[in-house]
Amino acid sequence: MQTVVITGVSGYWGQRVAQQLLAMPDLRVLGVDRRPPAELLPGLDFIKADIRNPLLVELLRAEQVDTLLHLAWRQRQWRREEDFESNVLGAMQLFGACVDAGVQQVVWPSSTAVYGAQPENPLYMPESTPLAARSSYAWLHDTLEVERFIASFAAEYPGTRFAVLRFANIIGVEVDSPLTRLLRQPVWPDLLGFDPLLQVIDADDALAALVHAARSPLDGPINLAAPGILSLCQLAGRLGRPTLPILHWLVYWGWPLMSSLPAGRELLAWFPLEPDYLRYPWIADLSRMQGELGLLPQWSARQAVQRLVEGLRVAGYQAAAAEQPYAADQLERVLAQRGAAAAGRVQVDVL
Amino acid sequence: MSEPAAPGQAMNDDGWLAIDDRAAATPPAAPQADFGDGLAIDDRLTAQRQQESERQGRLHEELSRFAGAAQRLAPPGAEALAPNVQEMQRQLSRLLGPLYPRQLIEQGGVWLNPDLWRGAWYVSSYLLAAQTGSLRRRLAGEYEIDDFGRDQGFIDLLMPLMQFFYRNYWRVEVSGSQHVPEQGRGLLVANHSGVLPFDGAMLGVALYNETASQRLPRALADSWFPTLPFISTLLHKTGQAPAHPITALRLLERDELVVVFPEGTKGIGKPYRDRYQLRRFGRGGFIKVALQAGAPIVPVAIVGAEEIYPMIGRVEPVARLLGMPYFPLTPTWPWTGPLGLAPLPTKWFIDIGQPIHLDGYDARAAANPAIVARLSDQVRAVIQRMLLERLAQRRSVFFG
Repeated sequence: MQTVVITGVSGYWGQRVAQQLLAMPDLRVLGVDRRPPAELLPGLDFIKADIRNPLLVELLRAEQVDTLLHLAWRQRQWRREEDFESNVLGAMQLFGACVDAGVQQVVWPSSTAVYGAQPENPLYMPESTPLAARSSYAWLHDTLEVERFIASFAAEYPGTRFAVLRFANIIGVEVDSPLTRLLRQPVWPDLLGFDPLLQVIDADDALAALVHAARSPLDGPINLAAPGILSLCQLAGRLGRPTLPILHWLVYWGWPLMSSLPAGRELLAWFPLEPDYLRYPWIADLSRMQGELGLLPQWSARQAVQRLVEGLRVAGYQAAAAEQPYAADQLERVLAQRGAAAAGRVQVDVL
Repeated sequence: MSEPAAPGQAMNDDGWLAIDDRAAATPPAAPQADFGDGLAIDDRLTAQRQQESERQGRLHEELSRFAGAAQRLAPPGAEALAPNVQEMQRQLSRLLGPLYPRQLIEQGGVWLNPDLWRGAWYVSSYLLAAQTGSLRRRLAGEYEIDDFGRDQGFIDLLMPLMQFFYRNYWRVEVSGSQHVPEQGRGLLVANHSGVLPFDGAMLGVALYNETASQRLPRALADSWFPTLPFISTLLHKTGQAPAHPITALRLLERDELVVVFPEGTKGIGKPYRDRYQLRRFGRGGFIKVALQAGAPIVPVAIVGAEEIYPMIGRVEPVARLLGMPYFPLTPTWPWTGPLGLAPLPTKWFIDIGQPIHLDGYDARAAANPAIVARLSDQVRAVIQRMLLERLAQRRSVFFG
């Protein structure tokens, strides 16, 4: 019986991963978050705590935790002190606690954006490529800090495996990633004359990778993306969104001023990805994913985009249905997981 | 001027015959054999008319077949809007009455053939539908790009222009195309010149035209080019890749033909007086890649490209200001504005040499700078020799 701890279990990814792991009979799943999950997860041992709580190390030790999935992450464009404390300092303290408590494996999702979009980069960047991103955005800045911390920390403590899953742009109707924020805008910003190549991965494939990483020994960074690449204009065309081409030097020239003014920052919400990522390709090499991990995404880049397009079309008609609490399918899932024998005493354990 | 005009001929001031009079001045045709025999002339005229009407009949038949074939091609709905020339004539004659130029229209011949216009209408509506259809698909992102961003539809669009430059503008002559591997990997190493990388494009067209399998190579481009708008898009759409050992190795492992210009920007921006003098071959990165991938090296000498923009000077401060590796001055650039961008129509020769196989070395040799430098110098010497051989035979820069 393995024990898995999920931090940030109340978030979108935490909930989805917990659901999947709870369905596996040989796992015990503990969830940690600062707020309780919105959707009830039967079988989950929920602990209401912040990841910076010093007592967490005692919990990890007492429960003899094998694997920790660190999914507590605040993805914001501009830096806020409390986000930085939670993302970077929180992750550092948590990983320290894991090493202290003898946790076997830590899984942390990162992004292929850490390689940076630079003209000098190779087209298929292996995991060993230096992390050359230069970013003024908080989410990428924090990701880079944690990446660099893990690189040195893991070398000091070889007893704990650090599986860093560098995901390409995760796309899905419900997903909040920089690219999906761009995709949702009615008009996209675009640098005139540039059409960068990029990779995507379907949200379901990303989920499968997280679940897989929670159950199998993995060490070090690993790139994850769907096979096939897309260009930004192709993506805009498939989603039927117009782009507004802007002279690139105008964007680069105005960027420092805009990002230093509060009003400018609000305008720059139009750029969920920084100009470099709209200008140069950022394509990661997938040989480790295909070889060592043996994980093949179910959907290719083209299919993932097609799913998103269809999902977005349907989403407009489903808004009312999704908001109904305790929808029928959820009760069904509760009953199924409890099993037919226990059907008589269904009680949903809250906290 | 001194010569007097013949009687009955008008003379201009300058002594030349007026054009109208020149026709009159030609001697009359020789008398015909059946002179005075009216019947024979009539017969011949009838025969001529018959021939003419047969020819017209055949033409109309052809046109009716053309219209029929075009109709099958046309999109649905085109039929209803097809022009009916006969109906138009009828309406026109009704409208104009006695003013209708019947004689003129009857002589219109093939140009008033209703089938011709019907066919032309069907063909043009087909073309319009095909074009708007492909444009619509393109705008909807419904096109495929390969693993390095190559867009075949875009290449097909660009190819006629490239072929014009290849055949008519630079009149490229290729020799030794049998040395290009028809399949499997290969690393083509060429001299680089000409301020703008037209040599890469022409080498690509040359391989496409001259190999049986129509191989489209991929050139490795300096990291400066992806920073330029439009050019960066053009590069990846036509299948070029950033010059990085990892990318090069990956391409070779996919059994692609890879073109490298080891001189890099030092070569492409070399002054006119240094033409055909090969620069340092970088750090020999291409040798390392060839050794690691086990790919044969095919030396290529391109003659003609070094004169398309004779660079007489470089302005370093402007280059630094614009973030360019060099800012060229040519006899026409930048003085004549965009006109200075037009390359000179020199005569090009692309000579492809025998492949150099590096089978004697193992992949470990790639880590040895001494071996890499020696091999790099050898390849450089081969290309330099090929260049000089071609230059020795060339009589003229523009006519070969």
